Amino acid sequence: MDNHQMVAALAGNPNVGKSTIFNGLTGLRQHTGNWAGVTVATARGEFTCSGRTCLVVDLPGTYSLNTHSREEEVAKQYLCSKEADAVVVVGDATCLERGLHLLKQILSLEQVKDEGIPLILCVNLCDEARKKGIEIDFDLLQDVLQFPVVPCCARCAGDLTRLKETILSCSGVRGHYECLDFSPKQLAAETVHYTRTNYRKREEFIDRIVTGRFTGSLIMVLLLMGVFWLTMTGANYPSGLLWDLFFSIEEKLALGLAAMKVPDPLIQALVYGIYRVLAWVVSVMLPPMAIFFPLFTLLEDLGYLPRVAFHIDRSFKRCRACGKQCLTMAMGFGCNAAGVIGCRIIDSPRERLIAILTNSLVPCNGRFPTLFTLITLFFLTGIQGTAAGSLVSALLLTAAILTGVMATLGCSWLLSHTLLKGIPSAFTLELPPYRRPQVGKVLVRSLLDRTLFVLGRAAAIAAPAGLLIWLLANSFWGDKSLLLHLTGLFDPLGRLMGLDGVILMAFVLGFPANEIVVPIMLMAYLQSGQLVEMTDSSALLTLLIQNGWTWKTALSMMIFCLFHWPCSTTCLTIKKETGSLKWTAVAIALPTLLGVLLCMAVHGITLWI
Amino acid sequence: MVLPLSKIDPGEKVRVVWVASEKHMADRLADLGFVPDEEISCVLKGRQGGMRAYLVRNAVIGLREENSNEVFVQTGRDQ
Repeated sequence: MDNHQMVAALAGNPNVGKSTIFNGLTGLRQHTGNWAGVTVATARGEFTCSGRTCLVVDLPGTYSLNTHSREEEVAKQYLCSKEADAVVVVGDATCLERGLHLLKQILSLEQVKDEGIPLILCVNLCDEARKKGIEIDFDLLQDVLQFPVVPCCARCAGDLTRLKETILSCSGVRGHYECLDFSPKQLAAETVHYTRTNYRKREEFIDRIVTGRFTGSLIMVLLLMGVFWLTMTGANYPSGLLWDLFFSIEEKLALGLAAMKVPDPLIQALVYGIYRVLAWVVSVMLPPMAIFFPLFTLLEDLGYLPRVAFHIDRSFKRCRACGKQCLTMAMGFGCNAAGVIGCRIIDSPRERLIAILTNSLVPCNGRFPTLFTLITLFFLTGIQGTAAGSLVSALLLTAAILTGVMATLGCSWLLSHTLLKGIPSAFTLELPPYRRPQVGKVLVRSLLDRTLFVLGRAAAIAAPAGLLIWLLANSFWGDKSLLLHLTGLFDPLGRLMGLDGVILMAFVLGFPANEIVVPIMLMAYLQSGQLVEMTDSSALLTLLIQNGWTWKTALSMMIFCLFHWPCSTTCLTIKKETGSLKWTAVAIALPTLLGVLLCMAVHGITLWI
Repeated sequence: MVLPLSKIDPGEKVRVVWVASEKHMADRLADLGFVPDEEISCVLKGRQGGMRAYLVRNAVIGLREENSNEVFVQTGRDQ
């Protein structure tokens, strides 16, 4: 990235499609979401046009350069650093005035004025504006501003080429802004014409339903259920296929290694230790993720998530937390580590900490398969495989998730009344217009950016974990394996929580990745020294019942699966984001305590049933 | 008649008179367009005690009740 001829910075309001333009220019896939604050640090990428290379820096979206939120500081510092040879101010055609306000502030920065850094105004989302009957007089705009104005819709390749050419043509040019004075309000009034006065009618109607008193909650729960139902029913078949594929490879792998005269213990460790855990993680995780993430991204792109935040903000307000915590919580459903990073969008340190500490109370994608397996095995007796069965399972999973949401609210309340006392800080929430998501792009992007990323991470952790588990199960001390010794150690506490030693140990060993909790558990029950393949669910049920499981055990395990320590990646992320060991410890202790206490309470209650 | 922003109904067009928030919030609101003389309207009324959304500079911004209480607006209503 060193041989670029010039540097161009992208600045603009949040949610004007800056990241989309950045991706269009550089071909990088930075994640864009239809809410403010997706870019929290600057992203960098390059493009080449007519033989010249330009480095593009995507600044976080800001409403102004005045107030001191983290994003605004980052953006202002960068603009003042004089590193950029040109600044592209991206505005939204549907609300141009706000973009002009920011433009004026950038123009009044001394560094920009003195150096005469060339500016370009890129008016994005022109297609949306056209649909709403908003017309913009670009010639007049350019006449007044005296620097290039490029209308753009980020999805049209031609516009992007023109933007590239304009950026490159600014190289070495010096802007003169001494005589430039304009009122953003007046300029917008002069250049923007509304041909339709009722263009917001449809959106307002949808908003009223989506955030309505009853309809709002109903739609939220139905959508949640719908997403889970699709994920569950859709994932079964490909999961089975992957499973068969991986295990047919496994045999060949073992035979192949044996033919190469690899020593037997090593084959055992490699194939039945590492490979099997990997195969398990991939075949259990990949299909649900490949369905869940695109669905979630679709909702995000549509602009639905900010409406959810709007709707349930009242609850967060009562807990003295920030309404944006709803968004970071939603990210946590995908991956808690991602959710913790996402907490950067919250300005107030107190509220950010609350959001970070409570993020792992909602189940991430690694925990869904466990919840799903338990629901299918113990709560769908008699209706499994029918339409009613899949509905009930979606319902139960939704209930589990709502429990997580409730716990998030409860713990936020507790934290803001004890450790993190304070009043809620100022908070504004932009409700962006609904946008039609580009289904094809969403599929590709969420598959590449999220699914493969999370999967890669899980696999990287599962491989060494697989080896460790294999070693524990195959090293003997006395007449029992180390794994059994460990189990015995955890048994008393496990019993008290309605679980047993094996389950608790599986959670402890599953610290690197929640996905491998069930496999470890089965391995210990079977004492086979390696992860077992469990294709037949009735065999699985028999095995569990033989080991003393009832629906009460399943219930306790579901609770503990929801509330226990965050996985190792999340812990590391929390340490990095908070910069404090103390808060990391709190983040581990909080859900663990909650889980242990809840399990004990439920166990106590179910004893009487 | 001058009222707090939280008291106006959806569809009503009003003009901002005075923003009485503390500095940090006032700055933030000013960036979004809640400044004296700006014309805004309420577009969405959520649940009781929940957020409300206002159209300002052609963007929809949700505010909490205690924040919209601090923005005073001139309405077209009679005394």
